[in-house]
Amino acid sequence: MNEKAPPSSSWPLKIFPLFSMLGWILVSLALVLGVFFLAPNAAQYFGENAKAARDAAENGSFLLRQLQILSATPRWLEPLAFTGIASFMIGIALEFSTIPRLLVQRGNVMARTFPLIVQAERS
Amino acid sequence: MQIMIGKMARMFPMLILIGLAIVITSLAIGIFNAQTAAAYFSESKAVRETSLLAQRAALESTGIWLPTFKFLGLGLILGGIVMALRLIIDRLRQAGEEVLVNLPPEHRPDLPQPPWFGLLMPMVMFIGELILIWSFAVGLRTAAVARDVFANPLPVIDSAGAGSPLLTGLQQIHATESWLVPLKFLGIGTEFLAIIMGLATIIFILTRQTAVIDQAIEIGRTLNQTEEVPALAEAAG
Repeated sequence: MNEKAPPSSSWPLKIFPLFSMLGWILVSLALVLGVFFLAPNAAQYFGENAKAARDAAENGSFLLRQLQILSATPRWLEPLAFTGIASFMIGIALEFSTIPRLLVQRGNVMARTFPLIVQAERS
Repeated sequence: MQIMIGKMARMFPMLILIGLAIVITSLAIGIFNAQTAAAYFSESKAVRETSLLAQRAALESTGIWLPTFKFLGLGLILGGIVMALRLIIDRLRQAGEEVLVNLPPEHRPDLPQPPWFGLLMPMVMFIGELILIWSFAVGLRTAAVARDVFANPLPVIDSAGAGSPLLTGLQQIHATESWLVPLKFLGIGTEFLAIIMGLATIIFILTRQTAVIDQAIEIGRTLNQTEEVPALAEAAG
């Protein structure tokens, strides 16, 4: 067998699934928060209250708390989804980083075939 | 099924070109929309809210559907990359088969079976595309609602009472926008997941093929001492 250790045991190949999973979790979490937290608040705030009622909301009222949620949440929800995408990209980069080592190993194995072919040509 | 996907994968440049065309079209629409916004905001507040209704409707509706269209373009480009990876996987397998065909069948080691993530990869890519197409359709529908709502003067919209069609429309726009943004990211994330699966398959094939070739060399060496190996005989002329 080839004397070099297979690159399948290298650290980037061990941790890339973690980054992929983290990416999936973050992107899904952003969607879940959008569907089950932000959307019901938006529907209630805009659908059940006329503008006059929304504008007249007093400090500490439920309407103002909803407005706070609707203004603050999208400011971190989109960056959260972007972090998920970045995590996927790190996973891809880690996978790419192992391919050169695999090709070197393939080259080493292929180099061993040449003496065999030369031997056959001589005979 | 896998053969059909393999044939479809050859059309990957078309997917990339369509995606690129969509992204460039989005840029053109964005520039046009920016000019509309510049013209709209050059007028006084009173004129904007009572007279420039068509411009306001165009700005509001384009702001909803254009991002989903851009993401669809990006998704198609990523889908093209996934298909290109599939093509590489197919070619690697073919190359492996061509190498091993040189050994007599009774001594030929088995080619490794494609892993589950390699078989699932095109399906995941397709799901990602479906999510992006769906978000584009939802974006178009919400944009139509926005066009209807903002075709009314702002004072009329502001005075709409609870349960009125205008407020229901406003509710629909804001509620949909809350989940439409993360949905687009989920579509793009699914495409990235397919790319990760494709790369993992290439790494799997390269690792296993190297091991099989190594094994084949040993078999060839043994056979060279006892009988004739087809490839070596051919090389010797």
